[in-house]
Amino acid sequence: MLLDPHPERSLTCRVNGAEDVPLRVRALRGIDKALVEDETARAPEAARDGAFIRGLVAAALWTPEGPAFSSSEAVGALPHPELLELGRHVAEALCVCSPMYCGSDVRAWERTLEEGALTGGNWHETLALASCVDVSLAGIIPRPDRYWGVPLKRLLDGHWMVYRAARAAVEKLKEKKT
Amino acid sequence: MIKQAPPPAPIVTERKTALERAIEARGEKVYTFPVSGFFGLGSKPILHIGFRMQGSLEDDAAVVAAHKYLDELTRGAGDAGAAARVDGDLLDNAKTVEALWRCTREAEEQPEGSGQWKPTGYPAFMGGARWMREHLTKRELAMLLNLLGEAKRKDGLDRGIAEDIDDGAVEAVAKMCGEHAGNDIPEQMLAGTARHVLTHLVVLLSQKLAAARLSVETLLREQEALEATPPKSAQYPPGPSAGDVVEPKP
Repeated sequence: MLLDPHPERSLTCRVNGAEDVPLRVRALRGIDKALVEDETARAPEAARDGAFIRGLVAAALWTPEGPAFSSSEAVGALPHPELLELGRHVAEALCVCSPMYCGSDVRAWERTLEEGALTGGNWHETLALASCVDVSLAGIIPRPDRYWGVPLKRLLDGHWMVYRAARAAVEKLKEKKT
Repeated sequence: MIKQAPPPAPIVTERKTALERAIEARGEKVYTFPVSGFFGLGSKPILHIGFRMQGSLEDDAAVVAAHKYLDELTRGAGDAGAAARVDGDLLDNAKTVEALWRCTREAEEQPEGSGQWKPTGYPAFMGGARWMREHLTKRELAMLLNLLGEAKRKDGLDRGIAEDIDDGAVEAVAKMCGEHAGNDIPEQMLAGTARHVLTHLVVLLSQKLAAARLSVETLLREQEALEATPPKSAQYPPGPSAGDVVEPKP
């Protein structure tokens, strides 16, 4: 899933009145989450919980035609119980498709991704990822942007985790050989 | 002098996503309930009040307004103000009034005498939250809050997000309560259950009890009827009475 430039997870739930609109959650960058947190901090203290959920839903929820909501205010049209339900589904999906250095169990993700990188079926991708480097006199410069074909700023935390796992897997293999 | 034409008005097109359009198309849901003891303009009794289901943004606005009200109320009150600001009851009351003012809607009988009450779109209490605080008693506010809860329950059922109580759940609760009637397990198990769910459970259990009683009564009646009827072997066909012509059997 994280090998995709835009990792996504489909939701089984639908919004009442829009049952024919499929919903999916798209992985967020760390900065996207930070922006939601900034917006939440600007809201009055008593309304921060709702503001955070609305911001998260607006940032991460997509439909086939694009973002599901044009702004976090637009999410506010949903009644509170529906918002909580949708927010729960979005948060659960983000836990699966959008690991982050701030907030996720990074050690657990790295361990799992390394195990996955060493699995036979993933070898091609592991080698392709691990070879995305620039070699200079200063040493090896990681260039994961080449694998995903996007500028560095568009890479997600999950992409960096996968990349590092691939590099670590190749290094481990080298050590074994020597 | 050349008159300059006024600049054209900027064309503002609001972009809405399919999901937003679908949510808007659902329309505003208002549930009306009969009330008594409320009076409107010219002391005209208010017979029905509508309760609007509002978005989460408006819910939050009510919470913020309650905090603002408390802040204003306690400003300059020194230590008493500090104590009042953290008083949960005071804050809850303020939230209740703010929420009620935002969601209550005036209702009109349309057409008159039809018994069909429809919300007009105007607030039920035009004076605002402050007016409600000054003129409504706690009992009246509590009644309105109960009706709001009822409206939310109806809305939840309409949207299919309320807790579903099926026959299996009723049986399980009945079994649990029956088996542990002598201890406090039923109380612990049901303590967190919402009031409307408990109401449903009691209604469904009452239905089951009535059905069970009816079937037992029916069985008993059948049994009594059976017992009252003599066994078939003891019955004799009626013999020929005088004057009847008895035909010989072939």
